[in-house]
Amino acid sequence: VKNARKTWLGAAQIALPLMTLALVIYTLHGAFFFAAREKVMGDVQRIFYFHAPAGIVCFLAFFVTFIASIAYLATRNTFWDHVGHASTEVGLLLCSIVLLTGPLWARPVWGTYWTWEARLTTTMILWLIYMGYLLVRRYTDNPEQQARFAAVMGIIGFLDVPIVYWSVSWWRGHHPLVLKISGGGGLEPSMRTVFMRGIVTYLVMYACLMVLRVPLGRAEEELRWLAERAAALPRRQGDRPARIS
Amino acid sequence: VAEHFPYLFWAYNIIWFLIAGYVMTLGMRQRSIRRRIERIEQTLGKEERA
Repeated sequence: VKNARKTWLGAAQIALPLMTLALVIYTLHGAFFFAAREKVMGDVQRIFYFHAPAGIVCFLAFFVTFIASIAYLATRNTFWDHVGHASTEVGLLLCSIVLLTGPLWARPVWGTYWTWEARLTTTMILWLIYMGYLLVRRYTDNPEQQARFAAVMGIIGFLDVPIVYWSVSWWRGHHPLVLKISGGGGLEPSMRTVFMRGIVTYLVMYACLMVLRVPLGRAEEELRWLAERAAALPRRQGDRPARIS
Repeated sequence: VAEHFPYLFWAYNIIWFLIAGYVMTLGMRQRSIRRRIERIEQTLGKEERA
């Protein structure tokens, strides 16, 4: 079973980066050559095809952290901690993309890079919460405590995701509403097609980064275990202590 | 395109820069862990033989 899992993981680590690369090229082509030019905003609107899907997949990444955190607290299986940790890192990467590309769209459209508008502010808070998830792991050297504290953060932090989503309607922000649960979106068909491609691209990229990042957590755990074993070895008189890092 | 091109250019560059940076960091972390595991395994092997 272990060998079969290794084979699948190895295959995924080769196939998913190739698929991501192909999809990125396909979506880039769509964003610049297929999607219609937005009449009011002009070409700067093309940022949207890699900005909004990053936000959506970022929510998914934090949802995976949320589920993995619950699973870790319920089972104490370190696999779930590795999944939660990996998903938080990837989610933060996507959230950073959202927070950096948004202002570059906002400057020519709103006339300012940043405004303390509801969607922007709650997204910034989301980024800070999950940075806290990573920082809390450095607060202690005990791996079990690290995982437990982080899992609690992963559960509480997810409460901000629905707030980010509904912030525009609750506080009547002026951030464009791309996805509506009811009432349909206002996207022109070619724009909608490229937008969907963007979502698929980021989903595959997320899967790709996860299959690269989760085994790293396993390897770190193995390293800790070996270091403890080396440190516990009986020393002969006159020996220098074994270097474990 | 000319009017807002710099914003579009930087937005797309930031995306690739962040993703490439993260992937490179993962690669470096993986290599570093592998080296440290090999070093400890060598130390353990020597100690156990002794």
